[in-house]
Amino acid sequence: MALDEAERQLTPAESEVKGDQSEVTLDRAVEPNQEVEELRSQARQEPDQVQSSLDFNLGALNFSAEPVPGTESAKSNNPGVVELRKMATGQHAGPEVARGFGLRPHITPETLRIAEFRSDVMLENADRIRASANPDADLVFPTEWPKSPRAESPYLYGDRQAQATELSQAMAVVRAAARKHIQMGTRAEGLEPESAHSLNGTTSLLASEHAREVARNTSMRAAGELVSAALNGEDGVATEIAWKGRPHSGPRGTLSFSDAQDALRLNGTYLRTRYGLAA
Amino acid sequence: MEIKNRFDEVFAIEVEGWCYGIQSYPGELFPGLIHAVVRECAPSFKAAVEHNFVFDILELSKRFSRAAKYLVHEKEICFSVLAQLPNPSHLNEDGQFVLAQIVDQVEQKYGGALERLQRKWAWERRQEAA
Repeated sequence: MALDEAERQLTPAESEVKGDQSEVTLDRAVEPNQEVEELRSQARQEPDQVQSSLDFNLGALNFSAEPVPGTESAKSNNPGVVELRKMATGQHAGPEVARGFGLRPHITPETLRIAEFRSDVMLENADRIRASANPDADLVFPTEWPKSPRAESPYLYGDRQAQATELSQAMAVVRAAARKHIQMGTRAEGLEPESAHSLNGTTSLLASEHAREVARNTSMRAAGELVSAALNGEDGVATEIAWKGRPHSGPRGTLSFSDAQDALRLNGTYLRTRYGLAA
Repeated sequence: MEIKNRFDEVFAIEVEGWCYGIQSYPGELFPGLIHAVVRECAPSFKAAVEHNFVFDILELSKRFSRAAKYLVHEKEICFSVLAQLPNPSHLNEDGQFVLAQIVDQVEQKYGGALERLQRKWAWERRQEAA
């Protein structure tokens, strides 16, 4: 009996222990889920408030000084973004427009355009402006100027295209004048190598397809043969080596063969070297 | 070191032609235009080095600056020309020697040329490696 009584008294105690364990287990399983669900529900209903709350908390923990790159909190606390928010206040482009561009509502395309412009000027042109203002200032190589990651931005494309067009047109004028000077220049005494000179692939002496073929496909000997043919009066060849002061209207025999050959040799060598043409 | 194929004459004529072109430009000259001309001369700079021709880069800059009515400082043109010179790693030993003599002119007059070029060459090597 004593033993039975003892067992009877022990049994509830064990069940109580088991019951307590199950309650503890249940509590630990349920309470965290509820908390998470509450947070999720709140985030779904009021995302801006949750973000603000996170920003505030992170700011209170002094995370803003060194924000984690790429995180939302970093963007929110970044001084540049804060500045953008201020700049964007009252801009004509509204949140809906910004959302249409896949942007956060408070950063409008107009704001980004301003920021791009400012960064381009600061990064790419600062040294040049400084150098222009003060010739003694340190200069940088153009190739070292950092390229803006937004160089292809459609907001600035129009201006850059206009500048490129203007420069291209100006260069065409200068190039044409330079080429003309070389063709008709005052240095054309005898067969000087100015006729052999190439400007952007265009030459006076080798302007014609015939002479260009000589430089491209034939050897020095062939070039000499061309000159020889010209000196011998073959029709249609003399004009190929005409230059200022020695047009085909003059007596063909006035050309020195060796000089002419020299010029053509120089032509061929130069062009082959420059353009990697076959010898 | 002998100049190959009388390239000095070719080079002088090219420079003269470009100076004439700049002087004859009817509109208002601007630095970008002069730098574009210098960029266009890049193949000739390279050819000069390959033909063992140590051209006078200071005189060249002065002539371009004068042609541009001194709107662009000759030092700026000088460094712009330097930027167009070929990378020594693409040259043979003779070419490197010629290139050194050209760079040395700027180094002697203005200083900092070699340092800047080395940074540029290092940058180019990184670009090629990437």
